[in-house]
Amino acid sequence: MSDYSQLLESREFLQFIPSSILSKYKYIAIDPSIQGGMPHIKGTRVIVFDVFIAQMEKISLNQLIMEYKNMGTTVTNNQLKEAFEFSLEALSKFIHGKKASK
Amino acid sequence: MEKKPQNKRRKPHFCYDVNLQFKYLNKECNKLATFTSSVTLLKNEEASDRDILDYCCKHDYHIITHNKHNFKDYQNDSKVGIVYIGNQDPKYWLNKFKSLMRKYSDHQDLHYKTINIVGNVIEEIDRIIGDGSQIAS
Repeated sequence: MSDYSQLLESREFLQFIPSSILSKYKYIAIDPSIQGGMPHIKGTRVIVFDVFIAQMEKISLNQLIMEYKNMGTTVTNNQLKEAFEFSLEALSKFIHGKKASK
Repeated sequence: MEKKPQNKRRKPHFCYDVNLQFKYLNKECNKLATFTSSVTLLKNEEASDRDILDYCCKHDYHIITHNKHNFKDYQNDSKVGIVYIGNQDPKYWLNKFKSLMRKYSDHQDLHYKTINIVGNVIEEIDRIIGDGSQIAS
């Protein structure tokens, strides 16, 4: 988890996310005034990579929904699935972008 | 003899940003400080960074967040303390956070402070005097 965390903390990867991929994901948004511009689930402050890390730790979607509910945030299965898919695509764009720039 | 009114904010009061890692705060640190989610306080699931900071300044809540970039543009004009926790496994930062809470056990101790907990380092900055110190552990 630490490797993902460090990558996400650096925010270096954000420049490799083309704005065009946002149109594919109806539940995901990027807004500079929310979470400092990190991609998040629309209508919430849930950062998509938070969902990604939780999924990598094998936390189930139902458990995630409950955890967010305890924080006062309502998310759905579909939103969480999309957040995971978006994270995967964004990270793969980042890895390819890094390779291409070398 | 007239009784002195009790100080309600003896323990630090924190508003934490929406992040799964922060679920451990209430479980592990509830004797040291009080933690309330930003959504619960603002009753708004998509509050902006500015809204959260304004609310926290008005109601005197310190902020705990994982995202260094969230409040950096606004923090200079705010009174409340801001604690940034690098996006790491709680097993690394939780003990550091507890030691920080033991050091700053009073709510007022954290006013005008920016604290970064990243890796093995706790960086403390006093925003009034601009002084910073690093504590490695």
